[in-house]
Amino acid sequence: MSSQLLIQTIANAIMASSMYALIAIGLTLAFGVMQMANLAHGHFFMVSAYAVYALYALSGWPFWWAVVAAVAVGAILGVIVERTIFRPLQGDVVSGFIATMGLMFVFEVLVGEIWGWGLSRPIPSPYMGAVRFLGAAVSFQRVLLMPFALVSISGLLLFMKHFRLGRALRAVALDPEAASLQGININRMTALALGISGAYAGLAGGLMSPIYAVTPSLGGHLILPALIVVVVGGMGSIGGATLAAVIFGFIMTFVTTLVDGVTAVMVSVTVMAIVLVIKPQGLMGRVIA
Amino acid sequence: MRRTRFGKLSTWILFAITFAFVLPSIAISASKKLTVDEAVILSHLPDQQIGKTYPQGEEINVGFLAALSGPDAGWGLPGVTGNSIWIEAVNKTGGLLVGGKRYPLKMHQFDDEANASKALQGARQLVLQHDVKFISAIGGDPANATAPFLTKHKVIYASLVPTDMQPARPYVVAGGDVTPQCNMFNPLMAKMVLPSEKELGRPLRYAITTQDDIMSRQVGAWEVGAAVSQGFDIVYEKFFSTDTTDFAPIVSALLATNPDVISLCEAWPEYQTLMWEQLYLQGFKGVVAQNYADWETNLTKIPPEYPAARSAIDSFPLMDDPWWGANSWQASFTRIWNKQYGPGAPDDVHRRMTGIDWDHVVWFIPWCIGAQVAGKDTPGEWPSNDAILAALRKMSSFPTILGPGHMSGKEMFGIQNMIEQPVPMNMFDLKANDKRIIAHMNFEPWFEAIKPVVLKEVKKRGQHWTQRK
Amino acid sequence: MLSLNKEKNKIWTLSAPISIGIIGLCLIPLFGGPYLVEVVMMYFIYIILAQSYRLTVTIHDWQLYHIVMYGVGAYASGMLAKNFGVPVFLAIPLGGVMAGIMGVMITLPLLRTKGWGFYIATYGLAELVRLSWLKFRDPFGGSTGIINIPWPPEFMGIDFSEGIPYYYFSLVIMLIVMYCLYRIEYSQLGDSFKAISMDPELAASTGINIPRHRLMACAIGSFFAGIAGGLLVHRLGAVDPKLFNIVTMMYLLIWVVVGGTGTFWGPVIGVVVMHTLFELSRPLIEIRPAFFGLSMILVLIFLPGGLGNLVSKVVDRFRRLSIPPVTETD
Repeated sequence: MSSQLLIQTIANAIMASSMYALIAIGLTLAFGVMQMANLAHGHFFMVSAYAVYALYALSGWPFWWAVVAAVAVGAILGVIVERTIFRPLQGDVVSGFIATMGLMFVFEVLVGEIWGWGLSRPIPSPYMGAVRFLGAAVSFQRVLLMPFALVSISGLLLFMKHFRLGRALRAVALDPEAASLQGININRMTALALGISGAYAGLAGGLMSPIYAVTPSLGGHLILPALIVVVVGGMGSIGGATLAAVIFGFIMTFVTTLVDGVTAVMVSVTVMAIVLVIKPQGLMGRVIA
Repeated sequence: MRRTRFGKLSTWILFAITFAFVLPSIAISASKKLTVDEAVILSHLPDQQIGKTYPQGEEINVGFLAALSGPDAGWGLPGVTGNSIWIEAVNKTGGLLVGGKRYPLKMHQFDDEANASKALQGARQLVLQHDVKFISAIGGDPANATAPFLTKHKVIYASLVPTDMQPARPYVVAGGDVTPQCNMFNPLMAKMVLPSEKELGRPLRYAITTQDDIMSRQVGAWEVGAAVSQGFDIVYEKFFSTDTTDFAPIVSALLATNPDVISLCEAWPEYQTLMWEQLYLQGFKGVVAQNYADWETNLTKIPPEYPAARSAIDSFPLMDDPWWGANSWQASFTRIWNKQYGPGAPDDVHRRMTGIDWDHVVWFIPWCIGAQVAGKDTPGEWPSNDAILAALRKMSSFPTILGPGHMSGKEMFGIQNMIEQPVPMNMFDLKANDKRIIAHMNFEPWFEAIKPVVLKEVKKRGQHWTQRK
Repeated sequence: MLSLNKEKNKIWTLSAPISIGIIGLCLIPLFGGPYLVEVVMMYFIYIILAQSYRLTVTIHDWQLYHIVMYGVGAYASGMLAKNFGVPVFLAIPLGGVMAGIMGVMITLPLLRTKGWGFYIATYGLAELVRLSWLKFRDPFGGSTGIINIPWPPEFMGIDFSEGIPYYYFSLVIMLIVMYCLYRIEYSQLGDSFKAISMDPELAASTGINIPRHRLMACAIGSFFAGIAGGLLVHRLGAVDPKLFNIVTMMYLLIWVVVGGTGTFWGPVIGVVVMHTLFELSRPLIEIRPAFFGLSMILVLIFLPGGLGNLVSKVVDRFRRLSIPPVTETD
């Protein structure tokens, strides 16, 4: 590998890692607090991307206001899903999994019927052009993701550590019974968790809408890598998800460049299987007693 | 967590909202009178005798077997519009005039979700329950599963994937989207805008990448063959997974081989948009060719000067390309489509017209033409598909959407089931900010000259029909 | 004494509807038309898949490799029949054996894993298998797959490439598989499986070798999934990796979760109800997934425990009405 290609590939890998991290971070929060998987997380992302399409591309809103709206859309979706799906299911993990699978279908059809099937939605890149660094070129739109990823991750960590609500969330994640005995309203906490999770999905979807091909099936493409990152990182562990995002970002990028895309996926799933066989709770996950 | 009645109530509300939102408005058919544009598109029929009355024949059923929902719906669902436009026009005149009777056409759709098993189920339903004689389909894995059954029942399967054709499948036809011929012209076109081998002092370098699916593998092999025949060195030839969302590493790998031409081959529109973005960002300075370019989306990521400088080549023409002319078949079709499916129309599909919208009509019309010609030998009866295909093969030329066509395919696919028509080649036009046809290429004579080299490369990759066992 | 009565009652009350059902299925080709034959045949394959999945799930946790085992059986049976001339009636069970072995190989490293790590790891290992079909064009055919897979040969003048004979063939296979699984369920082996499923620690303390039983359950379940794959591939005459991707796994999960694994018949009910809903909603065309998704959500919220549970309760109430109560002194 020439040094030029190496630098470019490292740059690509860093970008890929921040993309995985931004998508996974909301999901891991939901996992940690609810112990349930929100399979529709990728679709929150997708719907938020469409929100940016509708507001920014079609209605001419400024890009950043459209992203703010996308965050709100994601948060609202999260709260609605918690109310209508997760709460009635009362912690039944598998039913939650399948119910959110049903939601995936619903969102895809809604979006397809409103904004059409077929070619991907044209969303202008608000920041066209590349950033050049040491001979590597990366899209400015992607570089923008990094500060957002860093701020969201550290912001969430700070919130969970130093704010009463955040600590309450952590308490529910660690031990729901003890938390409720302490007077914490579990229902409100799960709604908050999914709201924040949805907000992160909305942020990711909004920011990345110019980077991905926005089609109804976008959510389906993203949920599996997101799940893998979250589970390998350790469910509920934000640091773990970040670490896993970096690992898989680098594996996928380097193997795709050196060999090909299919091999890259094969290597990734092998690594994933090895990690989970050795450490089933994930790299930084807690062992469930 | 307490079970909340409110939670269940909100689920019902969600259900109701979704259903109310999603229940489609039933399209009320527009006026029954034939419009001028519809008359134009019917002009491809040799013997429709619009206005003259003839006895009614029975309804002739045709099928549409493709992905109508789910992740592959973008490739299937749009095709319904084109076929519907044709059927509507034909039926307005009372039906297709065959052997002295007017036969109205009816289309039945089946969603196979691009899954071979469901495609076979669909083929069975269409034939056994609806007695279809002709099926418009996308092809690929579904073609493999449905071929034995459809061959037995002698139902034509009009695939968009010519590589589905083989002698063991006498009723699989293709050619609508002129692949792999258009792909094979990519290296030829690229050579026209590049400095010559002599000027550079080295052979020209060709890189090709596309998604790994049944069609791309075969089309890619033919394109590589053509590139080799034009003196190119193949420096990159890899396929990416259909799940790929990050194209930066792929483009980096492409650029590392220093190609003069990068071909995106059969890359789906959403992939090629993201690859164009990366090519621009990572600074590729050579020629870019592909099968289907979606400039409206691409130009949201890259400035138009970039594809113009890349002599961007592709081959899915626009139906409203000025090349065809304001009174052309294509212009009429576009007007009808916009009136029925465009913005504000009764069946507004909330999207632009794509190539898929008309791609299936490319074979549907010749089938109707063949029925009219063959019907002369069997007055009062609808001719068999064998007779229809024989009639088409006998004709030296018949009209198709892309120009005068004839039946071909023995050389490339072992059976004369392919429509060969002028191959439209587009280049990106800066003034128009979109693709424009620059030439219609004549494939067969050119292929004669390069045949041995091409076939060698195709066979080396195991993609020739004789190797498909 | 109590249990013997229950067993007798159960068999008695079950055999009537089952016999009616089987006779009905046999009559479908005569009265239902050729297309219905095709559709019902797919139910047979799906029922085998769902029922065998239940066995592997109840013993431990929700694994995500089952559909790939379906694929292993399909590829193995197809390749044995096509490349090595193995007669189809033999190739299908051999394909099942390959699937069984593969199921064991995937479960073996994951014996100590549970929960999300387990789900994702099983998905990953299965994907590795599926991607190797995509990557290694020789011998698996890659994205192009394999074509010209032979039908079962003519047997006593019956041509199995026709829909109706293949229908009866699949029906017979399905009944055999269901019978085997039923016998396992109500055998000593099945009791061990149930014990492990309900309380693994208690089961272990009674001397049941948990890992061995789990591997056995996974082997049996994967074996039958492979059989289903053989049935599929010899009907299609072709195979490709796309048939066994995560979308198909999603449908399987939907059937089994909606049907419920608490009762033996849950998965069958899940397949019948959800797949019928799926097929009946075809006129909705592109809207269909939304309708299907909403139905799933509603069933899961309003019928926890699944449809099997609901049917079981209804049957119990019916039984209680028709059979005199059994008192303790009986």
